[in-house]
Amino acid sequence: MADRDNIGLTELRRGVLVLAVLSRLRTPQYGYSLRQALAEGGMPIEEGTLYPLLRRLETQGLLASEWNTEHTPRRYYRLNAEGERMLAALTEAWRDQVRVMDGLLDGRRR
Amino acid sequence: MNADDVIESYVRDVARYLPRGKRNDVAFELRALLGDELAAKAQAAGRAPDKAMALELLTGFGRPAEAAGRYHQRPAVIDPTDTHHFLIWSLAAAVIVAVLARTSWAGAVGAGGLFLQCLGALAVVFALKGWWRRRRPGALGWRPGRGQDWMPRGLAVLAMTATLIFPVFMYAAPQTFVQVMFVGTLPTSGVALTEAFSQSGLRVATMTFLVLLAAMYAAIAVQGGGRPWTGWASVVLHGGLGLLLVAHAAPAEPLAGRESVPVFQSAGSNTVATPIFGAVGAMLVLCALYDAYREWWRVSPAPALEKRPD
Repeated sequence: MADRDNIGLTELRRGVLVLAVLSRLRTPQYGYSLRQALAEGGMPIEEGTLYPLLRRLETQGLLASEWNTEHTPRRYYRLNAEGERMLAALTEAWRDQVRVMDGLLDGRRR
Repeated sequence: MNADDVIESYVRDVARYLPRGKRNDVAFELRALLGDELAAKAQAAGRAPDKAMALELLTGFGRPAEAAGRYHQRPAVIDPTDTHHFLIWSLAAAVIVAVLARTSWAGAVGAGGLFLQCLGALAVVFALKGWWRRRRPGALGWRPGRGQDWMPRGLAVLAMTATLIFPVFMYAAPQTFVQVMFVGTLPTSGVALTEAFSQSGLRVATMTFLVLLAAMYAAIAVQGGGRPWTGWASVVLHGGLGLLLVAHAAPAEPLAGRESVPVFQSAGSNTVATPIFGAVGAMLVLCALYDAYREWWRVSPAPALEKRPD
């Protein structure tokens, strides 16, 4: 039963992963610091999932990145203009979904 | 080997699975990320990072091929959704090769080589199909079908008439058939049957199957379409007819322990007709096997009713 619960939770979180990541990238973050920030916010993400996701979002034109090699070389990611627009759109969609789900779970008619 | 060597080895192996243009960039970033993760892990453990700690970290990351797959997903050679059909076709190829292996048709390649060639050809066809779908989304899309029972009355009547005229008439009276079809312009002596064949059980059985086939089409015409029983009747009739025609082509001695009965009086006609009988018979058997497969997998949506306890 616990495994089944975990599967459901994983599926739920997978759907909001992009939104969670975008929400933390208004300020530049490198991979590990972003993972920490998400974990502190209550959204722990496996490293093997997060790092490739950052590359994918950059390829999709939502993030900009640059290397900082002053100390330990690290790649910093942040939202670009398209990423800001996507974040706003997804935030609105998410809030709408929350309203819908609240209605469904409470048994109310829309 | 220390922790850094382990990470370096992992990063190198991940990069090997990536496209050349991405390798260095991903490897550089992955090394930095794994370094951060390892440092945090060591800090949490209160000791310096070591090989065991690095291996534990990388186990969570997955095999290098899996990690690389998350950075760059390569399409499958055969789409997972095509796997079922690929296996069905492979099985069909195995059956055909097994049948051919009983004859000399497998040739110098041998049955094993022929089967491998078939598998290779199937892999290429399915890979091209998947590639085309990825290249042109929407191409090779699904189209609604009429279902395996579809046969309107007109088509069933046409099939019955064609069966009566072509195989039944031709088989029952080949000389009259040639005379009528070619309006007497061709000599009919070439298709004159031998006395032995005319009175053979093989001919009677073949005639029976041909007439039953025409009767089945008549039944479909009356019903206004096929039914599950006509599907199985078609399998039996086509399969039986195919085997009988193969028997026309096969020498009788090894099968029945008696002397072969030539079909035609003319030796030349027998030479020409024998491989045709064999090929048509084999084709009918293959069609019957395919129809049997379709009947076996027939989908009749209905609620699955649980058996009530007695």
